[in-house]
Amino acid sequence: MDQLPVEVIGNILSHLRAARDVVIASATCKKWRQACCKHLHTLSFSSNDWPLYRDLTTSRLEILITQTIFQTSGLQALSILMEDVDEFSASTVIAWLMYTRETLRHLYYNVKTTPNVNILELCGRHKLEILDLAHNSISGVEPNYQRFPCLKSLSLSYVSISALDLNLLVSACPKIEALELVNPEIAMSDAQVTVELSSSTLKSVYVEAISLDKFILEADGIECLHLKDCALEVFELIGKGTLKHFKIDDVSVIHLDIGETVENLEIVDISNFTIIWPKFYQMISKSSNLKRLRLWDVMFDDEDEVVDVETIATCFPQLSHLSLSYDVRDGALHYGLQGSSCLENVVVLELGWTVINSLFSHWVEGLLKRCPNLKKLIIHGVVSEAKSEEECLILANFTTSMIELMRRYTHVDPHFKYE
Amino acid sequence: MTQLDRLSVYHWLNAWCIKPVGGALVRQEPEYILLALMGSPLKKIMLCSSEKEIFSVEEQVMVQHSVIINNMIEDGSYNHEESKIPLDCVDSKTLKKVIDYCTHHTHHHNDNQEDLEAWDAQFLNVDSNGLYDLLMAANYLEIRNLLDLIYGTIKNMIKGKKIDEIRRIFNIKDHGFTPEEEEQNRKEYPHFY
Repeated sequence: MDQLPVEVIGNILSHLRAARDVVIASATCKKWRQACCKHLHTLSFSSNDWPLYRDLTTSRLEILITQTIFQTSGLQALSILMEDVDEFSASTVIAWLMYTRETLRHLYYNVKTTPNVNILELCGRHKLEILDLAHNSISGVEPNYQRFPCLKSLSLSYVSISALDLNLLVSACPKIEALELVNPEIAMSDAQVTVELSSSTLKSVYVEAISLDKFILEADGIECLHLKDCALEVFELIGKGTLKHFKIDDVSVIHLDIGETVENLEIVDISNFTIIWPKFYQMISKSSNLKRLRLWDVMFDDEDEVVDVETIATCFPQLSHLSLSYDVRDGALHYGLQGSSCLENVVVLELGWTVINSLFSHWVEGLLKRCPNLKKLIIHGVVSEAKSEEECLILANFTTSMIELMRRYTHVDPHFKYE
Repeated sequence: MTQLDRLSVYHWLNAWCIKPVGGALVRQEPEYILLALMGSPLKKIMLCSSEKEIFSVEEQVMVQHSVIINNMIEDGSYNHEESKIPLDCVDSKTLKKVIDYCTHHTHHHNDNQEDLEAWDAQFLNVDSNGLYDLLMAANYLEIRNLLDLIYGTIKNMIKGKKIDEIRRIFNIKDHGFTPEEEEQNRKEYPHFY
């Protein structure tokens, strides 16, 4: 092992990533020191890696990071993710970015910088492939001379940016594939808060904790769209029907439009949402390639509406995973289980309750009958801390019915998850 | 059709820019499926260790994992009928293990993650010298996933350890620093030490 070539040692140190480990390892001998100086390509300063970072004062930490970075050359990936630091000073951050700008491909940085630093201006635009920024602000984007020809993945968390700048930034990345926006602070010039983004290369978009009047996304190649904890009046996806994976979680949106052509949808995951069933059905009924459908903790706008198995079976013959959790009422049971079409390809069935009622086990039984090739059944239940006698009785009855049921369906593997 | 030998089939497919990956074809028109069946993935290539021992292995397996071997086959410098690929820096014991790794991962790539990880852990249950040999071989043959696996293992061996412990693991007898230099190292990063 003492004969390893210096480049290989550089790779070993790069896999170590964490600055403390890299510094210690490079102090073992001159060859390792040299590997650190000339062949280290990945370096990370993360409060998760080494808890003792928080014992240092901010200026001491700045010096530590500076001297470690300055001993390397050709760094390709730099992570500075410090949870307990309020802010770094602009001059130090500028030094780090300028030192690495020629070779840096991945930058992860989540510390507020004072005074504000134009990170887009400073970091090497020509090679940057991944930019992951948090707690900073971006302004004055000039797409004409500020282009990011290699940027594939952009993630902005708790970043202050105007809607216009966000639009310009996305258009300045001709190869962008993944976009992540978490709790952005979107400054608007007029009363209506609208974000419009357009990219023909975007494949995956994740938006969390955003509150807007209008969000319009034009993405001809999009495959994966995930909205979480958003409050929107209008969300519109303009595309060419390439969407494969659509997920919304705890979103309130008045007008949702994911386009006419949805033939490529494979996964639809809706949770904590109020569904207007006819509209929703119209949206996804043409997705005959659907493989996974999850409607979890959903409510129906019209209390009499149900998700009926007959519709699911006829519209989605390729369905392999079905997850349903909503308030099962008499109506749901009766109308929902009407018909005789089977879900031939469903191998995993997940059913859940938030408040258990005596109809639940009948519902489980009814669905089991319609899944002849089922392999796994997962029951999710919410059990309240203070259990009333009635609830205990219902739970006991449910347990009994499940045991009886599983005796008849021996080819199905049951799992229970209670929270 | 039956007159066509495997090499011609391969070049034919290549000319149509269809890359057989792991035995499957990108396009699935009947003619291509027929060709795939004809050019069965059991075609073997010969690898020659530094000890001049010859190992016969499925071409698909090595092409999938080793960038070097893939390039050799692609640019036609490997003649299936006659030649063997000489690997002068890999001994027989290590070459056998590398072939083992590639073969398992090709044939079991649909297994679940836990099973594969368990197999990998067992595979890397070797001594320091063995690990070195595997690392050098994987580096030379440019086998990305094996390299990542080995680097990951080495990382776990070093992470959180003290300098003396690391020196022992890597058999570093002469570190080359003067006592003043060692003292300087300590002073530079008092917090890390």
